[in-house]
Amino acid sequence: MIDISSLTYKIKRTEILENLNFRIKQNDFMGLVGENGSGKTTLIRIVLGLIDGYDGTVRFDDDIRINYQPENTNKKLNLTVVEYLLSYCIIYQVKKDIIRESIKRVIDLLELKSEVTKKLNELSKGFLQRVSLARCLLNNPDFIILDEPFSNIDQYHKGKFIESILSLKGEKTLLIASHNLEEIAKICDRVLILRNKKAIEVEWIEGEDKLKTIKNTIEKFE
Amino acid sequence: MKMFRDVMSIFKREFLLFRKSTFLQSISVLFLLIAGYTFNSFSFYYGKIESYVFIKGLTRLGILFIPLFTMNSIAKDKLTGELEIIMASGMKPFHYVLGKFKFIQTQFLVFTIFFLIFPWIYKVFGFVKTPVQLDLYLIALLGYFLISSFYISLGVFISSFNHYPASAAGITLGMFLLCFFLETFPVFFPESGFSEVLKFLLPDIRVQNLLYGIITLSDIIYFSSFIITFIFGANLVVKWKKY
Repeated sequence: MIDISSLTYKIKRTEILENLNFRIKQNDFMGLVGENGSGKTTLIRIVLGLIDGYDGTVRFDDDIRINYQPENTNKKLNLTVVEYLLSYCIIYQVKKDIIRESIKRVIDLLELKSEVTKKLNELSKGFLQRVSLARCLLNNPDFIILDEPFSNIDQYHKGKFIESILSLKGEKTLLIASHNLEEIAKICDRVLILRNKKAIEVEWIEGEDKLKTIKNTIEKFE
Repeated sequence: MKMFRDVMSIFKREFLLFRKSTFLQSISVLFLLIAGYTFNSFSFYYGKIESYVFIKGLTRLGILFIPLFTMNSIAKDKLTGELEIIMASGMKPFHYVLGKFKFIQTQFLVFTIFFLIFPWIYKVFGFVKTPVQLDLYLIALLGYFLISSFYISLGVFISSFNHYPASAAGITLGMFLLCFFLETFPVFFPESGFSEVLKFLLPDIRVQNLLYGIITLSDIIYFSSFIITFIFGANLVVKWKKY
């Protein structure tokens, strides 16, 4: 689905990412972990085509639909949840006759029925993250990228959010950037660790303690 | 075709946001009310409908109101992070900017069409005996539409490099007022070389012919080229991807 090879990115003369190689296959749930400033968001922006000027190649399958949930989910829009979702149906050019159905589907999936008439600026961070994920699913994309989706949300909403993400397994391809290793271990099948500009990929076998494997790999990577 | 679809999707989204914004609806109503009052006052004062005076008054009004319409266009999407999400969806920056511009321009087109009925209202319900010269009035309205589009494209351009709508509005208003005050410079210093430059550059001077009912190709080319330049400028700023 996405093939990244020899990716190097510099800002002025400072290298941010150095010779990254990895592939994301269809229906992969891939984690992207690293400390703050390790280049996770930069890598995501390169994949999304929001940043140019890198060396190497980023190749996609044809006609792939990608949606993105940035780190800071927005609170400042003076729209209700339904209006917000409707505005993105328009942006994603969802066909007119299935707009209502699409909004209903994501509201049911993310359990947002109680919040639909509330304005975004009245919602808690946890619900905002769910609304944002709902927005990502409106046009039935092939690939979803989530940037730090677990930051500043309480345990209850985190649990609900993880449930929602796991319900997409086998249907969507996902890339989740986070420095929260426990959640990544719960959700992902593979993890890409970014450290000192480089990346290393971690896969595990059935029954293996995922969190321990990630932590061990990070230690070895030092 | 993709360009048309993208521009239309931004246009429709702007329309949705307009419908939900009490602020934008209020300033639209206020703008129309003051325009109506201006028309009424000028017509009473002159005892007839003077296209030039009325439309010139409207362009002055635009200086105060257009920054309020354009300030939210791109700056707000930057502030809220929506710009990043929209660009990540595969929307081209040029389509995005064009959609934003087209929506505000369409609002002013609707206002312009609304102003078309003013002379008719006056003829039917008023006491003015001198009928309006419709051809001159239409050309003056074309001038109004062109200068409004000029200001809108400049406002969208300024909004594109701001992260805060209020600062976008402030800078836009400052630019408009600068154009407004510089307009008098050639009157006081007619021999100055700078006056010649200003006569070529300032929209308020370039629109004079149209307001008097004279269509000149050079003025239409002037307005069109500046509008295109500002839209491309905004497109480049969005392309820099400073979200």
